[in-house]
Amino acid sequence: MPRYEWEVPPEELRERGPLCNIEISVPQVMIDLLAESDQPIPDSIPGPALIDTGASISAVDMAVLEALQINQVDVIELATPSNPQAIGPGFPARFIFRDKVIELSIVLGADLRPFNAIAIIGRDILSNCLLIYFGTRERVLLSY
Amino acid sequence: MMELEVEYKFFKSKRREWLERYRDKYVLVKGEELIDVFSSLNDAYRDGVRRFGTQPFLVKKVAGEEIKEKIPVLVLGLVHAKV
Repeated sequence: MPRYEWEVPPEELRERGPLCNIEISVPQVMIDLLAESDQPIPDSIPGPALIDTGASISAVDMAVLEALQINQVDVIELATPSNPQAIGPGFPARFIFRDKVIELSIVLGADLRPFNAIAIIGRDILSNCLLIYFGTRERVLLSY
Repeated sequence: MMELEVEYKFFKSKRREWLERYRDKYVLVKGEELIDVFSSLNDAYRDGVRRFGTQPFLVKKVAGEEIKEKIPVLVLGLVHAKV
C-alpha cells in the first residue's frame, strides 16, 4: 500500500484540519470520448483537499467542476437539520493522489472557497484508506 | 428549473417500483425514460457518455432505503462561523 506522511504545523492542524495535495480531473471515460472526437481535454486541477471523517460523501468546488467542464449526473439527497428535502448537485470526478488514481466518484458540487480547498475528502473515499491523525506529532498519514 | 429536475422527479416516482427489480443496481435515465440498468457506477456512466456525450443524463443507484448524505461542515456552515 502506498503510504504518505506529512507534517502540519499544530495551529494549522487544529484550525483547518488535515489537508493533502490532490488533483481533480475529468473522468477517464470522458477523456477517451474527447480524445476520440479531437476535442480539447481540460488539464487536471491541483490544490489542497480537506480530509473530513464527518462527511459521508466527498465534495469538489463548483469552480473546479466548471473549469473542467464536467456535467452534473446526479441529484444528491442531503441530511440537514432544517430541510428534509435538501438536495445538491452530483458530479463525476477523478481524484489523483500522487500515483494513486480514484477513477470515478460521484461528488457533491459545492462552494468550497471558505475552506481554501478544492475538495473535501469524505468517508466514501476514506473507506479505501488508512488514515492516522497524529496530533501530538503534528503529522498525518494516509495509506491506500 | 434545476439541472436534471425531470430525470430526478422521474426517478423518485419510479423508485419503489424499480426497487423490486433493480435493487442495488445503477439506472441510467434521460428525460422520463429509463435507458438501461447496470451493475456498477462505472458501467452506467460509461454508457451514458457513449450515448449522450456531454449532454446531461442521470445515473442513480436504486438503494433499499433513501440514502441521505451527511456533510455537516457544509450544511451547518461550521467552518469559519462567527461565534
